[in-house]
Amino acid sequence: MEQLLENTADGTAAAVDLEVSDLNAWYGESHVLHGMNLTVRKGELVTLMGRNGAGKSTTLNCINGLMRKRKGRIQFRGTDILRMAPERIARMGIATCPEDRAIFSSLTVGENLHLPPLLNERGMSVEEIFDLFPNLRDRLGTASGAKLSGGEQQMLAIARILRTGADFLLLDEPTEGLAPIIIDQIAATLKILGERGYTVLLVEQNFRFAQSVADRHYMVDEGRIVDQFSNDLSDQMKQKIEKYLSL
Amino acid sequence: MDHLSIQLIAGQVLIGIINGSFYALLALGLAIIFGMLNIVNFMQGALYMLGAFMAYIVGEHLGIGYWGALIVCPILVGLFGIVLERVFFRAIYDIDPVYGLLLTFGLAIIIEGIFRIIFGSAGIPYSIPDSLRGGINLGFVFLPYYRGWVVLVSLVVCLGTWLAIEKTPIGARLRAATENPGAVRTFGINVPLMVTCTYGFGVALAGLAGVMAAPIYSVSPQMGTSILIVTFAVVVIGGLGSIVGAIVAGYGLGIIEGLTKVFFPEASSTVVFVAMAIILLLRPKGLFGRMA
Ligand SMILES: Nc1ncnc2c1ncn2[C@@H]1O[C@H](COP(=O)(O)OP(=O)(O)O)[C@@H](O)[C@H]1O
Ligand SMILES: [Mg+2]
Repeated sequence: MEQLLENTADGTAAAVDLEVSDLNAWYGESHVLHGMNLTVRKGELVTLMGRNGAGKSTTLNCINGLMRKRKGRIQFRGTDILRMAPERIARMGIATCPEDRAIFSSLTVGENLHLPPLLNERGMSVEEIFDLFPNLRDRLGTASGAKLSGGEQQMLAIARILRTGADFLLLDEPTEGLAPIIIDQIAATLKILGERGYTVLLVEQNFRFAQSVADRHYMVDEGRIVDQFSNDLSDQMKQKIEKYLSL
Repeated sequence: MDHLSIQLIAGQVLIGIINGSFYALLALGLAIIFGMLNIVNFMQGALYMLGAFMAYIVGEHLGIGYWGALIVCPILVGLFGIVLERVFFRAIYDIDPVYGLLLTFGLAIIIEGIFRIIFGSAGIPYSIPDSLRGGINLGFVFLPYYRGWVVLVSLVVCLGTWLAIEKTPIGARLRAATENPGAVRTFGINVPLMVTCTYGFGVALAGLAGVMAAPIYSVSPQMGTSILIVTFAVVVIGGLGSIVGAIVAGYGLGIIEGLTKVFFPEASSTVVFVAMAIILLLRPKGLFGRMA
């Protein structure tokens, strides 16, 4: 497979996993992405930050194929995926943990966990997943996904895509509305995923959390990337980011 | 109560269970289709009729008897439904569900019209397979074997479908796709294909009911119309899209209809709709509908 190589900050060349260029998207007549450009290298954790309505979730939904009306170029590991159906994109190893978590109330917790089919042998075993999220172990028999707390639902939503062997994760505001102790648990999980070589594109508004886990940050505003920072941030840059995130 | 009236009641309850077997099969198909496609399939009656005619046609022209027809015809009806779904429905999923209703209503009229032109409106008899002739006296009621067979098949199919949906991994995918098809697609599951297969299965149930109905009611182009109206009442009472609701309300209404024939015959054809009105007033989402 043909793969682009790009120089990283420390001078080594790393394969580019995802390259989005001049991406435009519409909801009906309403034009919401205006030429997005971003790159995610293999093994990186990159964030998309920006205020509500900036176009972060829409960008993820263009990548996973759910967004209908989209134009531009999305290359994943050398393949153009812009015109592909979501199920085909998923089978290439891109997994989504959506903003609404998509925990199914008509499925038991166990059924929710086992719903996504395995893509390869490299996924985590259920035991490894329970090591990451011990709370889920006791909840496996729960009759409906809707009976879980918000934090448990979020863990389940992450856990079930780790089983499949997908190694490129789209996470949409996983910390939204969760207690600090659960946010810490998710941060710890992301660190482990980084060690295991997963690539993550993370949408966040929680800057402190983002800073604790990410390699790089993109700032999104009105459907465009307006700035980018590597994670070794000066105080001046932090102030700039806070400004991008404020209403 | 004297002996005669017990026999009378038992007889009508039996007829009710038999009618209910058809209601349940048809309503089950409607419920599955509604859950997955968000379309009220007005063709269900026409495809029931198609199943019955298929049984007659493969018998006349290919020499395939009842037992063969019982397998072949639901498959043919299912394939026909799959073609219709691919050709016509794809275009309307994104717009108001009302279009689905209008589309299937229109297709139903066309299908029934074609059969009326070719076969006329008079019923065509279809005979009971030899091995199921006769019946057994259960003491309180005489049970023709064929009708017992119909009840048995309907129960097995309804229960099997319910188990498959509620208790298997494939069923879990189906339930999940009903809730949030987009999210399920991002797991690599081909939801559009599942939708097509679901429609095929849902209408195959109508085809199966049609084949089983052929020897009881005669085969005619309008046989699907009246049963469809009752089936809609069943689905509304059970709760739109509820599998259990469709099955329970199907048999339940059949029995209520039968009992009404004993105690208040004049109301027997309207009791279903009275029941529907009462349920709608008390529980607008139906007996098993999920309350919002
Ligand atoms: N389903 C939708 N239909 C129409 N407009 C939408 C829809 N979803 C989002 N939008 C609009 O698109 C823009 C980007 O939204 P979104 O990508 O969800 O932002 P973010 O995730 O950054 O908060 C916003 O202006 C929002 O109002
Ligand atoms: Mg969002």
